Amino acid sequence: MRALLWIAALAAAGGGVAASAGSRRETFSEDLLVKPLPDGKVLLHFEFSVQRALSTGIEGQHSYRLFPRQIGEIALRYGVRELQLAFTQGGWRDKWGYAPVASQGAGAEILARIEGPPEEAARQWKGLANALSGVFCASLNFVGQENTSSPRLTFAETTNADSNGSTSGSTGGSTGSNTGGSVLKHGYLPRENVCTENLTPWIKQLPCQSKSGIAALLNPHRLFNMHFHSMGASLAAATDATSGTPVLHYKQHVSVVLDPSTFGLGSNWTLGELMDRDLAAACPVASQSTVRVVASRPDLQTNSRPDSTGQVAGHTTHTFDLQKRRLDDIGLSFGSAAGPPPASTLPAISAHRYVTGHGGISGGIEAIIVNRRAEPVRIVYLDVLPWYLRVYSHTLKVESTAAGGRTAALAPSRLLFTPAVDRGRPSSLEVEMYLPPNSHTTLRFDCEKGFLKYTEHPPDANRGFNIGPAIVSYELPVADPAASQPLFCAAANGQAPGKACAVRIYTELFLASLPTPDFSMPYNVVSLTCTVLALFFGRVFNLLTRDFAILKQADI
Amino acid sequence: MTLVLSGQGEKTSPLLRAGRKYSARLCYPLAAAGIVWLLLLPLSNFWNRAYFSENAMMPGQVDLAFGAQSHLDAMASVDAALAQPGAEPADWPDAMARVFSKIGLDTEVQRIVCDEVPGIGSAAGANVHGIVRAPRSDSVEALLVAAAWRTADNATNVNAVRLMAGLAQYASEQVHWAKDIIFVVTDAGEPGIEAWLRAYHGLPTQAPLSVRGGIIQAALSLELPPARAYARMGLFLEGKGGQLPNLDFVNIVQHIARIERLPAYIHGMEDPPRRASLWQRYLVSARLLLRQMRSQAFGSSMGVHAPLLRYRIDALTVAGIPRAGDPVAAVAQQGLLRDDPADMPLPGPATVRAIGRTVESTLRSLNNLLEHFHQSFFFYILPANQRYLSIGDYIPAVGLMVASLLFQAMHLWWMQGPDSLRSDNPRTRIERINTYYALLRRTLPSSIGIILRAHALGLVLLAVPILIPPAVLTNTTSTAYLFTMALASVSMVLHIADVYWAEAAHAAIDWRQLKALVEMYVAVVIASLSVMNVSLAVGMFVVTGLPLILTRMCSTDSRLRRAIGLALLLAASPECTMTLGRNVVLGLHPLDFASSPFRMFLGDFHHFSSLVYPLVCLVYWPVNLLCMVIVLVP
Repeated sequence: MRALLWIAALAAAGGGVAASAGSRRETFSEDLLVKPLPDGKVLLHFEFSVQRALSTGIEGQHSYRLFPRQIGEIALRYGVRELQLAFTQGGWRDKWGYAPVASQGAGAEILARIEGPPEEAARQWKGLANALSGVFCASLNFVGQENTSSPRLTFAETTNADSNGSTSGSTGGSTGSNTGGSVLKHGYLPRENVCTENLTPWIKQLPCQSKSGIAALLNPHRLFNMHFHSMGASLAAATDATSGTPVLHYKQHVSVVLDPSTFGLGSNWTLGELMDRDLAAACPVASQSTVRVVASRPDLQTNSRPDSTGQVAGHTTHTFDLQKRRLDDIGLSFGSAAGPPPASTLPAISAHRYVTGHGGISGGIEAIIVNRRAEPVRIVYLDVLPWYLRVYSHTLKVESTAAGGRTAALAPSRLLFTPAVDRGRPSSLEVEMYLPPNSHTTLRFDCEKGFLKYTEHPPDANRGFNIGPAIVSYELPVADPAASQPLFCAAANGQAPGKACAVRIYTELFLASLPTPDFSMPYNVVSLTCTVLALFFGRVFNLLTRDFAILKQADI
Repeated sequence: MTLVLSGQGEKTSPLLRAGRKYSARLCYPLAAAGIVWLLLLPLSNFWNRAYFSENAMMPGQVDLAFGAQSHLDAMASVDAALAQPGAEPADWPDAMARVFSKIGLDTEVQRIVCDEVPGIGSAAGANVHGIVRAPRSDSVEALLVAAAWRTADNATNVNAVRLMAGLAQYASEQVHWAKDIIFVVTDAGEPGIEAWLRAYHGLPTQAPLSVRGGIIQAALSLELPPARAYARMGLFLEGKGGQLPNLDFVNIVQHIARIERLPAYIHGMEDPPRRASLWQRYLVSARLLLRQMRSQAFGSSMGVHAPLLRYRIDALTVAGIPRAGDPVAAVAQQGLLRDDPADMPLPGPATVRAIGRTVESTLRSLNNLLEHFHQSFFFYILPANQRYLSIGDYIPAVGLMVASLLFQAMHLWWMQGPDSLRSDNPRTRIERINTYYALLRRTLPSSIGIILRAHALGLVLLAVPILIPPAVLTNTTSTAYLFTMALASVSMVLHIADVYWAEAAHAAIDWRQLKALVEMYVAVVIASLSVMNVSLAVGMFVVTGLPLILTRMCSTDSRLRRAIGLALLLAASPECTMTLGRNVVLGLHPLDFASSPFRMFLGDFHHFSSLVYPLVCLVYWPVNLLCMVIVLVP
């Protein structure tokens, strides 16, 4: 009896310890950034971060409180050290400035660093894609060896995030894909549509879901009636700056560019009117819950006094803390739409990619990269093309037109080309080069269109295939916090100056229209063959094999 | 069923023997049958009713929104921009660029240099285009609305540009687009659009574009001459190489235009009234068919849509046709309007609304397309509005024409050799044929040599505009060019005839063999051309195949007969037909020597790689020369 009581007491104490330990081990913060854009649209960037201390002991490994269990278990099961997942729809226009998210190409993108032996990595990757497909109700299971590549120069490893969780890439962009026994896998699905079906399970992963906090504003009717929409999640291992313990950082973001005139709002609206939802109280389990309004236009006014004012990426930011007080609504008003954006807010590098040629046999790719800075910039251009666009890498030509108008050939400093294997893997081209200051650089190469088997054509065969974007990555020095820079580069908590921020630009998609066969031919062949067989088989068989033998009367 | 072709003529099937007996006379009925087949096409018994193949388009089933005040304001802003003090037509592209930017489109001005033929008539021009980006879409596809500053009849087209600004404003306000919409205005007509297309598709050009979109799925071109109101609209379909847009596209535009009560007719020709007699209906339909065949064969200027078809973009031109007694149109046609937009007000609001809603509804239907047009016919001919004739209905005519050439070639090949070879006794015939074969082996190379020589001359003519520096060509008018051609051809024929007449005793060349070879070659050319451009194939047959069949159909013993034959062939030669047939090709007066088909073909070949000029140089003219040789050889 006493032994039973002791055991019960110990269990309760252990549970209490575990619970309190769990509450110390996970923190959740949420943030909404509202930034009016120069042409009258508004950018809303929701960010929800959960940080969880990794425990070495077994008792805390499978106990989750704020951190979504699905993600934790998936990461453990497939040996994922870093994961970036993004669903994007629409295109980010340069006149809006830097994109708020790292991954802004239309479609679905998965990027993962998988630990373990490389021969297991393919299997783990497939399992990871299928698991994420189930979690987010998306068709990520189409990610296979045909659209997976392992770029070596483009994706810098995100390491050593500080306690707030802003990921700043290290300058080790040239580290190989197999760092420390992990393999980088990158899969892209250019034709993936984003809709409410993906948003709902995404919201379910939030601790307060959409009942309270900033997530209450997530209204799919408004979120998908937009000019740009990017929804995603990223998982990274980091080291907590204050305590030095290894932590797992899971960040969910939704970035959307809305046009208030679509909903009949003028130049004077509140967040509740824009999203057609009421702003509720802060999430009770959040350690930080803020709404920040970036005064990107000088005539911006808010209807209530902000709790604090700061600087983000060169603009004054008004911060409203939802935990200090309950806000009814946050309203903004400004004058009429301003003129074209000032040149200083345009991104340092812009990239566009187009397909050239118009036949069904051959074509080419042309990429135009613009460098607006007054100094040379090192970029890495990554293009992953499926196997049916056969790339002729010897036709690669790079030309650069500098500010003076002279055009000269530009030699890449590194060129990594992985040829495609038919129905096996895509071809992958990575070009590292230094762009001259204030220049337009044109990169072009030829390709030939392959002929698919007739069963490999999709149902809308005459449309063609969407081809994923090219990715131009570069490092933006963020020495000056007042300079224009991407939101994810700007540290809210005093990042060490002098570090560079890894920025990626995604070009447009294009349609590769492949020659289609005559799909009625199988029917024609079948009917012709059956007719011939039916009519002539008997006669020919008889002619060939029938033999007449004369029988004598006596044998009958 | 054994069909054995033996040179000795033994053991042949009854079919073959009958063919041989009658093949001498078989080719004439076949050619006549082919021509009669074509002449029967305007009869309504053979027509099929038009229908929609692509169900996704759902034409005319959307709620239309064009006509709001913001769209009319955008149209008025074009006038304000063009009427800037001191602005002349050369500044208009930049003014349009400002209008497009204000609406919110991605805009660019492309400065091009367009020459009529290589080096001749160099002119500078500018294309301006603005792209409405689809808000929620990934910008992989686009639709195109194009206009030129002047219509194909050289009337001013400012109405179309105003309408484009209104449409651009409308398009930028909607959220349901799945494709980008590109608005292009060019001031160099068809060569201007061709330059824009070359830059858009990334082909090597000296004026590259940096603001581009995705693949263009379909395009509309607008031509709205000055008028107070339009009675109807005309649809022009043919491209520069004889390509046609998908029949679905034509049908939906006609259907939508009928709903908006401003009907669109093919080439602007109305259907005959219900009470018209059979003969009148036949004439109307025949005229429509001839007009289509003319623009398909020669690629005469019919609208800015024509260069687009070569890039596999289904395109057509919608042109407004003013009412008969329209005062504004009458003044404009006499050339009395200044180049000032203030002189050319928009047509009445009902007309503008009807056209705007037609284009809007068409764009909405095209927006529904998931793939390129692929369901309906690409090869067709339209005898009346809402009726069509598909390729299976008219290609047997071309087949019969080609068969007539082949039958005569077969007959001549069997019958080659002097009449002394024929005898009723098979054995003597065999001996004589065997000796003659030895002879033939010597004459075959000379026949082929003559054919190659004639074609080499054609190749020289083809290469002259490319090789000779433009400075030398500038002062040469096309008429002088043609007379040079005539002189050269006559002299060559006489030279050849001279050479071989001297060897007449040895019979070094057999006219039957030469004619058979040329007929086979022409049959192959016409047959393969018919699947690309059937009107051009029929045209080639009329000017090349018919003279070939009829050459030397009766004996040419006397010099008079030979002279008559030569004269007829000269009348059928390219110099004569192109000089005297101007009104057929271009619609001009026969004696108006200022512009010529020759120059038009050369310009088309230079800009659009149209096949007419190479065919004239490499097939029509050499075959005409060879016919003359055949007549002259003993």
